[in-house]
This record gives sequence, structure tokens and C-alpha cells, in this order.
Amino acid sequence: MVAIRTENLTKVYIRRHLFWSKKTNALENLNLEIEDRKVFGLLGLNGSGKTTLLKLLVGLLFPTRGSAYIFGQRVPHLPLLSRIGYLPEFPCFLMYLTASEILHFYGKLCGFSMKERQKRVEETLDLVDLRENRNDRLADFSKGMLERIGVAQVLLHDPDLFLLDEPTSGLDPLGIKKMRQTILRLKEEGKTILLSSHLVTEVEKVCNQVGILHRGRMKRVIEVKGLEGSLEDIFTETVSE
Amino acid sequence: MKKIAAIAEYTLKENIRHKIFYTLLLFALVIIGSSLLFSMLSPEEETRVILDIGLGAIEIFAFLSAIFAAVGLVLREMENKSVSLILVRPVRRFEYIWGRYSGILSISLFNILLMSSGLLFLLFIKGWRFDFRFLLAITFIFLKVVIISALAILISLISTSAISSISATFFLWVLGHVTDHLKYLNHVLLEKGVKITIFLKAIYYLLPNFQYLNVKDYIGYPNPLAGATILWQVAYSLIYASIATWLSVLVFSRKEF
Repeated sequence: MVAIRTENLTKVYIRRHLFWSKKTNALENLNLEIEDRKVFGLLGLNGSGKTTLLKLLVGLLFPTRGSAYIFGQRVPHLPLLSRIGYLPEFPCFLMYLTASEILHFYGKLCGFSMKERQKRVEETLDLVDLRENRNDRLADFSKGMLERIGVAQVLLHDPDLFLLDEPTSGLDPLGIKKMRQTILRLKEEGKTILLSSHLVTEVEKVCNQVGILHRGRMKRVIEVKGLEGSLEDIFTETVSE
Repeated sequence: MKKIAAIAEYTLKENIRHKIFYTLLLFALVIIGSSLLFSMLSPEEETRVILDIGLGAIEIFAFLSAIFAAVGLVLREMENKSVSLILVRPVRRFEYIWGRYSGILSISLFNILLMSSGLLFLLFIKGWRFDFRFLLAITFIFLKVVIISALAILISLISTSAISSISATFFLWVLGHVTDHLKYLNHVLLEKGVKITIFLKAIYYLLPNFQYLNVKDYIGYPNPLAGATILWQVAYSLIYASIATWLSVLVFSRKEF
């Protein structure tokens, strides 16, 4: 079964100035299929269109042309969002709330009952080792702790599809290891994961398939299993072409 | 509806924890309290002075807290992109706007009620006889806030900086109190042969007419307000604010994050 499918998905950013406008092609005619229960890594240099693709899938951006489908539904599709967990590269929160409050808030938006919410919030805080900080305000959190809250908000509603944008960005080595373990655990649970990164080694460790995105175009899609040669070499070769 | 209530609840929570909320509230209560000093300047109209200063302070501080909440929360949330973690859940864009708006109105109502209680306390100490128009005046101050908060959200969605949003909202607040002068301006211009009646009329109807809602000016004088007029004023406020909020929804629905 196909989890994500895009058809000629194109996004052009238009920056309007007083007398002129500047167009940037962030994504050009992207045709992609990602199978259910697989981990797909999006590799690309900065500005290659990785974040744009993820944002188009969750409806934060609107496509200029083309379309995207998740679990067979054309996006944006509101009920579908309860099956998707999105982690932005730099997650920002309502900083005056505590860790527990922000998760309760997101739980309410997902439509959970009080009892269900309480159970899930506690479980999720345990998963990201923030139980002791549950009543601390996010404004007092360190960068690493905020990243963990970012992971917690993704896990909270137990989605089927995870869209992770540079999930290891800004993490220390221990944080990177924990994130990798989380991704591998989700993979074992049979979740579909689309993660974007420019860290080739990290992608190689967790992904089944890798797509190399360069200047808004999908240059190559590679199966990681049985790969001949190093992924790093293939990546550098592809983006240098 | 549950999602609107959830967003409103968290808007309220966030606002209450903001230092500026307490600063404004404290400042308002100090000014209301200081009306006691000013009332000594005219002992024969002591309660009149306390009422005028008190209601004026309530209106100004309700307005300030509303625009700081509207601009501070909505614009900041869009600038730092924290709004994206709300919109990636099954939340419709109109639910977000109405949730934020309801939260801002709740905090404004709480502010107004607290300041009014302080003012009533002072008035009763000075032996004031309760006038039901006091409640009307407070209601109409809240209705002004209902309109200006809706406009502040709309401006925050269009504008790019907090300073320009606050300035534009403040400008609308001032203009909204002098719209009646546009009629006089039109009359003067016509006498001088300048015909821009349609333009001035358009501005007159587009701008909020806060003077129309200035019920506080009538307290202590023979009541010129008829029941029907009050109903019209309430209807005007609610319709104006609804249109502004739905315009915000329209703008917000087209926004990308």
C-alpha cells in the first residue's frame, strides 16, 4: 500500500516587492511514491526543497501545481491530520505553558477525552524523559528539552505517518542517539516515516529508501539494503552533477 | 466548538502569565484610585469626577490590554511559527481565529469586570447612588473592545511587525471616535466646491463608529437612550466585529507557514 504519493507537485515561492516580484522554484514536478510501513529518507543540501515538501504534505503550504495524496486522500484533508505526526526543524511552542499543559492542549485539539489525554500525556512525557519537568514552563527549557517536547507532541496522538524535518538538527551526540532509537522503535512498530536530513550517515542507519532532492527535483531514489558503494559518495556525486 | 474553546482557554492562560497584563491592570487600578485625589478639586461633584476618570481609565486600559493581547499573541505566534504546530492537527483555520478572538475577549471581560469592581467600590465609599447606566457604560466599553480586538487581529494578520500593527490599531481607535467629524468635513468641503462626498461616506461607513457606543458620556444626565437605540448599538457592534473576524479568517486561510 502506498502511504504518500505526489503527482507533479510544484511549489513556487513568490516574494513580492513594491515594483517587482521574485520567483523561486522550491519544488518542481515532484513524482514520488512512499510505501506504507517504510522509512524514507529525504536527502538534500540546504534549500533543496525538503522542508517545502513536508509542509505541503501537512497543508502548511499550498502547492502551485500538482497534488499530493496521503493514504489515498488528497491533501489537505483535515481528518487525515490526526494520522500524521509532524516535527518541524525548529519546533516553537507557546512558551508560557508548562510541558504538561502544552501536551494537554495538543491532545484537546486532537479531540481526546480528559481521561485519554491524561494517560497519553503521562506516557509521552515518560517516553521523552520529561516527567520530572512536567510542571516547568517551556520558557525555562533548554534547547535539547524543547526538542524532546517536539518529539513528545509527535508521539502524543500515536500517528501512522511521521514527517520529521531534520530531527537531529541541533542535538548533542546523546540526543542524536536517542532520536535514532526512537525512529528505529517506530520502524519496528510498523509506522511510516518520511524524514528529511542532510546527514547522510544518520539517514543510512535508519532508512529503507532514500531520495536525493536537489534544487527542487528528485534526482534519485535508492534502496538502502544491498547498496553498492557508500551513500555519501552517491549523494555527493548526485548533487554535483 | 471544543477546539475553539481549547484555543480560547490557552489564550487566556498565556495572557494571564504575561507580565504586561499585570502591569496594565495595576496601572489602571492606580489611576482609578487616584481619581479620589482629583475629586477633591471639586467637592460638590466628587462622584462625577471619580466616575469620569474611572470609566475613562477602564476604557483605555481595556483597549490597551486587548491590542497587546491581539497583536502580541497572534502576530508573535505567526512570526515564531508556533502556529504551525496547531495547524498540523485537525483544526480548521476559522477555529483558530475564533478561538484566539474568544480568548482575547474573555481576558478583556475579566479585566473590565475587575476594574469596574474597583471603581464601584470607590463610588460606594463616596456615597454614590447606583445608576443602572453604569452597567450599560461598562457593557458598551466591552463592545468597543469587541470591535477593536477583531480589528487588531485582522491588522496583525496583514501587517508584518508588532509596531505597525499597534500603530494602525491605535489609529483606527482614534479615528473611530471622530467619524462624526467626517460629516462636518464633507459639509465644509462642499461649501468650498470640493466634492469628495462618496469617498468620505465610504470612510465613514468603513470605520468603526465608537462615538456611537459612548454610553459612558450619558451617566449622570437625563437618560437620552431608548431601548431600541441600545439594541441597534449592540447589533452594530456584533455585526461589525463578526465581519472583521470573518475577514481575518479569510486572510488567515490563505496564509502559508
